[in-house]
Amino acid sequence: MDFDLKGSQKEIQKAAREFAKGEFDKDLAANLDKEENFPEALWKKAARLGLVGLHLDGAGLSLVDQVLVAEQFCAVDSSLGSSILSACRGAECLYLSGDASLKETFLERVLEGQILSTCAFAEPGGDPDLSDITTTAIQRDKMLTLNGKKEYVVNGVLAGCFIVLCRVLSEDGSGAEPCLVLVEKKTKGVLIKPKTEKLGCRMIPVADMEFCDVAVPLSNMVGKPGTGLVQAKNFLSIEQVSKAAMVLGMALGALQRSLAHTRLRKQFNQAIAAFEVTRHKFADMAMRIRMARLLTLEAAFDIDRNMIRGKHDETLAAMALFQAAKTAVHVTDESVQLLGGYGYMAEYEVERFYRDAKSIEITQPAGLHLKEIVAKKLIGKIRAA
Amino acid sequence: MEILKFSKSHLDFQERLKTFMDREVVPNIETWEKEKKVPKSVWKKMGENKFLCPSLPAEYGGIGGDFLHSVIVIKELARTNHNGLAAFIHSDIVVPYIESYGSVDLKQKYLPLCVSGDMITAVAMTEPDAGSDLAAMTTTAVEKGDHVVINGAKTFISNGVNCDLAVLAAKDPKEKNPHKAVSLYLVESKTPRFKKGEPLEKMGWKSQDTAELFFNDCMIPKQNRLGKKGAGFKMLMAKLQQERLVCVVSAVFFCENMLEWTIGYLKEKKRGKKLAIHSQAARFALVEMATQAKMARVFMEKLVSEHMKKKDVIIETSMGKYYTTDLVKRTSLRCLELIGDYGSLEECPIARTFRDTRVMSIFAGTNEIMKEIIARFTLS
Repeated sequence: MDFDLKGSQKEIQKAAREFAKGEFDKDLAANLDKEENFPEALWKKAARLGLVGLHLDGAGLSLVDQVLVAEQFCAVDSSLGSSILSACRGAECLYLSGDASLKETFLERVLEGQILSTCAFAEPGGDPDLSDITTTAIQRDKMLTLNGKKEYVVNGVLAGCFIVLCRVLSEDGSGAEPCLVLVEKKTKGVLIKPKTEKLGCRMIPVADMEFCDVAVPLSNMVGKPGTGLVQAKNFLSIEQVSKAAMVLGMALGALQRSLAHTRLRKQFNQAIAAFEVTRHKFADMAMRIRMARLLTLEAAFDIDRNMIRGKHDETLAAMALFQAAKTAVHVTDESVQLLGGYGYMAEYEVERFYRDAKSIEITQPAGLHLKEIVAKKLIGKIRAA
Repeated sequence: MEILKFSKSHLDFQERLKTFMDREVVPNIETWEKEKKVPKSVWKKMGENKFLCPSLPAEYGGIGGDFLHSVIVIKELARTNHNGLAAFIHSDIVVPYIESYGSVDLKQKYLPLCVSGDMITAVAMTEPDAGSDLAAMTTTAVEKGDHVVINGAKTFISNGVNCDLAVLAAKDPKEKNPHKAVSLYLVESKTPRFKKGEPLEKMGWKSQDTAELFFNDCMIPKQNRLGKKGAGFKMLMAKLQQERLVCVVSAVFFCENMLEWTIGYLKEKKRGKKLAIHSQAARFALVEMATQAKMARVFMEKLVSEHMKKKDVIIETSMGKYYTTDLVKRTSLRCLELIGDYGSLEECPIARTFRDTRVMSIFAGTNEIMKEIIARFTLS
């Protein structure tokens, strides 16, 4: 049991902080948010410095490192940070289960900042636990033909490759085992329908997708047949921790801004930060951030140590995201209030942090579904009397 | 549970207004939200149809209605789910200053134009360094002969870009007691050296032309003062009951609208084998929110009814302002959670309601100020 970061982790934290402080520009962020554009130049720069997907380097996962980077990035800017961090979304699947050729062709390009990646799991009207996936991939010789619909695909129009959860059938229709299949954007029959005008995280595009007789080589299958659902759930645990770290960063960034503002601004002849209720609001925010942070780091640590052996506790990731998102919405909301009229103005940034945190809180995997993950394991099966 | 009784003529007024909103307002909202203001022409049309200042008497062109007409306007504006055309700020917050404190001449000159929509009004109180602490304002008004010279800057002024007439709070620099230093003046926007800023970029109220106002040796006639010199603070305090009541009424309607929409959405939304509305957790959440909204509604109606009897309900109104604006925020946050992914898109109406209603616990006195007022009156 050790709560101290290792030397190498402190260095990563410092590098991330310095990069974000040096490169993230307030006006750029305001503009990209307004126009719903992705910070392409910054992403490439971060990738060149090894800050994109740095948890996918070496042996096994190092999600704790990713948490540290996400916190720093999103504290400096919620939208720039979260969009750059999401650029390599789903690369974990390639890293953990992809064969050498997939890794060489795609993972490397993702980590080098040449293409964005993503996962396409959820389907319209589907169960949040992904148990009822209907997208199919029919296997004929060395090819797979995909048909189906996916919704709310993060990175939408920008991603160069999609990791699609589908059921692989043989030509006679037998099989139907869940698999992950990598589909390149340029493949014929891939339709991407962007959903524009988002509430928050506006630098991360989202789209609905349709696959119409999309032919991909069988070698694009990620991992063994039948492992799709397990891999998807593993990825979602990783994503839950990554998102928890992002919203934690947003909470920290909002806290820093409201602290700075209320220490300076005087009303009724005293700094707003000197009022008892303000002081206690800050104490309350600090406590919540601390709790969510411990949980997030524990969940990351557990995944790093145990996921490869299939022994990680998926409830930790769910708890971490649930608590961190609640915390972030609370802290960003309080920050808007503490800045008063200024908090409502785009120029003071906290309203954007608030929209970003809220967006992450409500998009899958979220809320009731996260509670179900925890409850399912805790309560187990109840035997009929 | 209804406390307020609407007459046939109220209901006719509401029907006319509904039709007007559906024709003249709803189809244009997306454009207005992008343009960061509503066109003056829609204000004019509101005036032509007698929807502005409905409580003013016929001598000024009004319909001689009551505060229930205002409640109806607030309700129908809430139904459009936008706040650009903030008619209640004009009708129920600014114009009452002219009606209550203006000289006969000022009333005859300006009130008919306020009713007709030829003049849009704004109230200029808040300053960059004087928000909650109004007494810290630094805008000055120096009376010189027949004129008053104004210097200073105001911020977060609703209807700021569109306004033709502002009720301005400014201090006499010679008066040291801040509570006796403030006077109110009517300033026409065409007055030389009165400048308006661009609409401010905000989290919500996107179509509302909230702006900064600047006065640089701006000269107005002395007759444009409202009420007695130095009585500004008293007048502001007297009018805040209605201003805050408007917030309460609006917040309650936004809560009700959000719940109605969210319930409709969850009834249609499939999540795996079942409809989202069949989730017990979602149902309990909705029931809790509906209960809170109902209790708020009853309290709001009681406040309106007391206010209409001219009773002093400043404490209860402050309680209502704090509770309902906090409730509308919590309701928006919770509805978005139940809606899920779709709530993260602007096409979901609750996304806008969330952005728009967030300001309600900040403006017209922050909720922290509400609690200070309530504490001062009830605990001392």
